[in-house]
Amino acid sequence: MKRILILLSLCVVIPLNAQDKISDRILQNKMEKLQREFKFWEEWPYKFEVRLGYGGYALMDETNFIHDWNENVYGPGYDRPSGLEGLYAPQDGPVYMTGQIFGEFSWHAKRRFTLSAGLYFNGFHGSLVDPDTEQLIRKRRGMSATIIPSARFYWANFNYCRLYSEVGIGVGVGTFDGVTEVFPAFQMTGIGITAGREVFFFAEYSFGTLCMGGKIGLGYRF
Amino acid sequence: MKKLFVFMAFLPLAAGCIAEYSEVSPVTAQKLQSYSKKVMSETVAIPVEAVEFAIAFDAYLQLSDLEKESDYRFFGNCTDMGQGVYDISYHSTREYRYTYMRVDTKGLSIREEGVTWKLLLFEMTGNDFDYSRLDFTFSLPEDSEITMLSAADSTWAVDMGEKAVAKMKMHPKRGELYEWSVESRGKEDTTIGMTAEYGTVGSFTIRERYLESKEKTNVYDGIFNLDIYREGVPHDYCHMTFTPYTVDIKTSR
Repeated sequence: MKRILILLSLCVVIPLNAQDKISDRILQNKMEKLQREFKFWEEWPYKFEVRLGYGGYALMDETNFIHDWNENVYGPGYDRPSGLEGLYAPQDGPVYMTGQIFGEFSWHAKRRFTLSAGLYFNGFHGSLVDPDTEQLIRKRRGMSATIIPSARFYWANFNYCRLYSEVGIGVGVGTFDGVTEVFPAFQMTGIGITAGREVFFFAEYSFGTLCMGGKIGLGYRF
Repeated sequence: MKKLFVFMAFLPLAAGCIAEYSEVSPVTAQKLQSYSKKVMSETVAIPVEAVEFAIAFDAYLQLSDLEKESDYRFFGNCTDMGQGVYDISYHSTREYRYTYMRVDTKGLSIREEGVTWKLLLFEMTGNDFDYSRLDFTFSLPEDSEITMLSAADSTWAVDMGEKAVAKMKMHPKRGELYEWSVESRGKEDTTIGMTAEYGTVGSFTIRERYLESKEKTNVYDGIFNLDIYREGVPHDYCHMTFTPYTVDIKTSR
């Protein structure tokens, strides 16, 4: 109804017998855009969507919480002990990350523009081992959580497929083996694709402080 | 089909990616041997090298300016820092050794009985301190002291502070070749309840010989024992018996 009123008001306000050809062209373009917009919403009557996904390599988490752990705890320039202490001191085993597991809620504001809010989780686990007995001393655990609002631009729309790019800025908090940090987050999706309509599969190539690499998942539009 | 699709999408959750490839390096016989050889080099072999180097440098300081120009080891490699402190950096291509020494002589000769030189820094790189023929760099603790105990008996002591004290007697040289008898004892403590006690058993002989290339190398003859304690209880050991040709090693693992 709102759209019809806007259309009608444009027809009344703008003089139909305008002499200026440029004004005619502008009006025509605007009419065509509106028509495309209306047609799109008829074919894609979904205002919101939710996504659940996984992927990307959390490079900044690895650097901040895992590789820098010794410097965070003992200070810059920390060196592992040598001599007798180096022989018998507890040692770190391999550390693993689950990878980024995320959920997103999006609002389709326009045909080509969507606002989104994502929540990302990444878990870490490792071990501390006694080199004398090769027994586990304790587990090392942690996780990071990031909230990141973003803007998505759809640059191609087809019947069952949409292509987009996305950029977001947010903030996160993480902890690993007693070290806690708050950090800014920036993420950019170079190219993403959704396949499906109401229920869809998506895949992206993304880079930033959250993760680097491919992400995949499932979504639902309503 | 839909269920399979959903399952595949969530499968990566079961995997994880490795973020750090640290591997635990357990205490093994090999590691005990490496540690023991390093301690033996630093508390027996290097103190002897340091005393030889100090004696040679002392002889160089006694030369006239013209005579100093003929000394290949120290001329051009030595900086007078003033007040009896010298900085020496010498690379011997013949012996495949690099030696760095910063010494406070206090203006005295180390060949006088009772005189002490303070080695502010002493570092040596070579490949024959433990028969391994691998290049290693060893250093004495900062501010170690060399003292001539007796001129008549040609005995010196190298005090390495908490690390060890080595006493050595120089035997008559065979041409340009040194021969020493060394006794050394020391201890290393840690913050994790481990203690190591080490030293020579009886007299340990170090003498020089020539290789075919006329390069000098060391020959060892004696026993060096290292015992490790956990909270005062014997825990590990490494006992090394050196002969002129090889080293026989016994460890607790």
